[in-house]
Amino acid sequence: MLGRNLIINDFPGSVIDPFLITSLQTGSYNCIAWAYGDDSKWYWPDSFSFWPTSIPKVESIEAFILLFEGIGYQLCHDDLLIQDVEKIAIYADSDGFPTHASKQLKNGYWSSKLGRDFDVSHTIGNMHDGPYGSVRVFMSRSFNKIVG
Amino acid sequence: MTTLFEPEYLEGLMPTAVSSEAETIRQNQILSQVDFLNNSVYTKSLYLKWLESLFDTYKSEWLNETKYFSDNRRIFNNQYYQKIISQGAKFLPFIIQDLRTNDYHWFHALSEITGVNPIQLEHLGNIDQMKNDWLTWAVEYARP
Repeated sequence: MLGRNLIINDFPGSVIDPFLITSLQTGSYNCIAWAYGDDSKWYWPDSFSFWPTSIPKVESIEAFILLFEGIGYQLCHDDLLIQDVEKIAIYADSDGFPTHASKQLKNGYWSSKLGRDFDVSHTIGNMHDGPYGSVRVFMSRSFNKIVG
Repeated sequence: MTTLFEPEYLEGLMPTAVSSEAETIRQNQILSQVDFLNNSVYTKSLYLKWLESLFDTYKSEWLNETKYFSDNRRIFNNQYYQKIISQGAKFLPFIIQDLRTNDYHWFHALSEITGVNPIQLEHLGNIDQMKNDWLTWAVEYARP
């Protein structure tokens, strides 16, 4: 009960739509790694995280877009569910710094890793007014374009 | 024995001396007290407990304020993480101990405090491997 109250406090939108905890807590990977499809590393463009050497080590939306373009994603307009297409959302704070990424599930809900806490299943609306600011870009790729 | 207290700790607590005789007495009193504090097993034990409690408080606040963050900029710039760094080598044993059992991101603090970074490039992002690099360093560091 206490944990639930903490989540509601941190994510006010979690009472509007379904917001489910789907994993145990772990600090082994973060939201960027989760959206990227790698749950073995912590991704961030800095000196203490994994970041592909081919992508500029800069905390900018552009660098994060390049990261996901590297595995077949392209910018798209919205979060609408499309068959055989998977989408990700990149969030940024009011200063434009990237803060978070989530990926769309086949049922239309979204999946996020919350920092070093747990994975959650949610809607885009759940994250409003939370610690991540707002969605800055959506990206999509066809399932048949998945780059290993 | 590790020096826990320097005379400067007591300077502001002692009355000001005006005459040279009073200053001599004042200095002797300070040195006696420092000597006692630094050599008392009981005092040292109390001090270490207090230090550990301070570390636990800062750590708890840091974890609470950064639990949902993925970006190390906000994780490392957190005020309590910075307070831990500002304590320097005194907190090193507690950080290393914590690293053994948790997967919290102590890497920046360790690097700031020690001035070294033993993490191998190919281990970046893999928390277990980064932890092992630091724990290996700690074993070497502790070796006489």
